[in-house]
Amino acid sequence: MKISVNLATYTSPGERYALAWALPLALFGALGLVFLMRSVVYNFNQYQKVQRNIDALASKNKAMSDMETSLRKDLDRPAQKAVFQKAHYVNGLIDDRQFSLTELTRRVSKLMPASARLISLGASRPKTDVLVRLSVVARDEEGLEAFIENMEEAPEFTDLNIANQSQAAAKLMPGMVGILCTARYLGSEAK
Amino acid sequence: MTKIIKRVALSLALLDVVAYFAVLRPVQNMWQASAERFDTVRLEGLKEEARVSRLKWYTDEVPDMQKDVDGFLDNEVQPKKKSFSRITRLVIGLADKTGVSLPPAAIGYQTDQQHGQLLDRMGLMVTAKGPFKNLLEFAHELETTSDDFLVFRNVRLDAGESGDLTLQLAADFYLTP
Repeated sequence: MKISVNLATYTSPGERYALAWALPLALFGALGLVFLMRSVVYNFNQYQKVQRNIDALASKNKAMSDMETSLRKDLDRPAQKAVFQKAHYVNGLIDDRQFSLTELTRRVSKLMPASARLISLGASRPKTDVLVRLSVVARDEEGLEAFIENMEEAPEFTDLNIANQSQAAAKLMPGMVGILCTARYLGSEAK
Repeated sequence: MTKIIKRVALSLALLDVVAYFAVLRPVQNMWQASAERFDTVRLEGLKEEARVSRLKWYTDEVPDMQKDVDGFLDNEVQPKKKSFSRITRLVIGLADKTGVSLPPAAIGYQTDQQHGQLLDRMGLMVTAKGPFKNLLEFAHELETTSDDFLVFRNVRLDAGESGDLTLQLAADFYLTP
C-alpha cells in the first residue's frame, strides 16, 4: 500500500491569483492617477485662464461704467437738456403735421362705391391716433354694404364701428339710406 | 512580494477614487462656475457698451440737433407779431381763390400761451361753405401753401339742408413768441 502525502501549504484562491488581479489593478490605478492629475492641471489652468478673462472684462466694464457716468453727467447739463426738450417738442409737432386732411379725404373717396356719397367727414386727433367720423348715404343697402366692406378691407383704416343708421342723413336726401360710422385712420403707417 | 503588490494596487485604486471626488470634481466645478460668471460679466459688458454708444450718439448729435431746431424755427415758423392779420388775409385769400364762401364770423381765434414751451400756439376755427371739391381745395391750400406751421386738429364736413356742404376746420398755428 502506497501512501502519498501532500505537503504543500494551503493557499486561498484570492492569494493564489493575487498577481493576476493586483498587477493589472496597480497598472490601471497608476495610469488613472496620471490621467486624473493631468485633468486636474488642465482644469485648473482653464479656470485660471477664465478668471484672468473675467478680471480683464470686469476692468473694461468698470471703465465703460465710468464713461457712462461721465456721459450722463454731460448730457444732464441744463444746456444739453434744453436742446433735447426742444428737439422732442419739434419732433412732436412734425409728427402731428404728418396727418393730411386732403390725403384722408382722397383715401375715403376711393372707398366709395358708385351708388354711395360721403355727406359728412370729421377727423380729430385725441392723442396720437386720428379718429375719423363718416356719414355716408347710398341709393340702396347694397351701396352701404359695399362701402362698409371696402372700409373693413382698407389697410389704412382700423377699428371700424358702425354707430347707427343715420336717419338725419336719410332725411336730407329722401329715398336714400345712410350710416354714421367711426374708424381709426392709420395714414401712411398702413401697409 | 504579492502582498506588497496587492497593497499598492488597492492603494492606487483608492487614491484614484479620492482624487476624482476630492480634487478633480471641485476643480471642474470651479472652472464651470467661473465660465458661467464670465458669460454674465460679458453680457453686462455688452449691455454697458450699448448704453455708452447710445449716450455717445446723443452727445455727438447735440450740435446737429441744435442746428436742426434752429433751422426749423427760422424756416418753418412765423413770428407771433401780426399773425392775426396775416392768417386772416391768408384764409380770405384762399377762400376767394378756391371759390368757397365764408359766412359771417367764419374765422375765430383762440390764443394759448404755452408756458415753458418753445412756441406759442394759436387756435384757428374756420367755417366755409361751398361744393365738396372747392372745400377740399380750400383745406388743401391752407394745409400746403401757408408759410405758417399749422396742424389740423379737427375737420368736419357736413351737408346742409340746402344741399351745400359746410366745412368746419380747427387748426393750431405755432408761432415764435
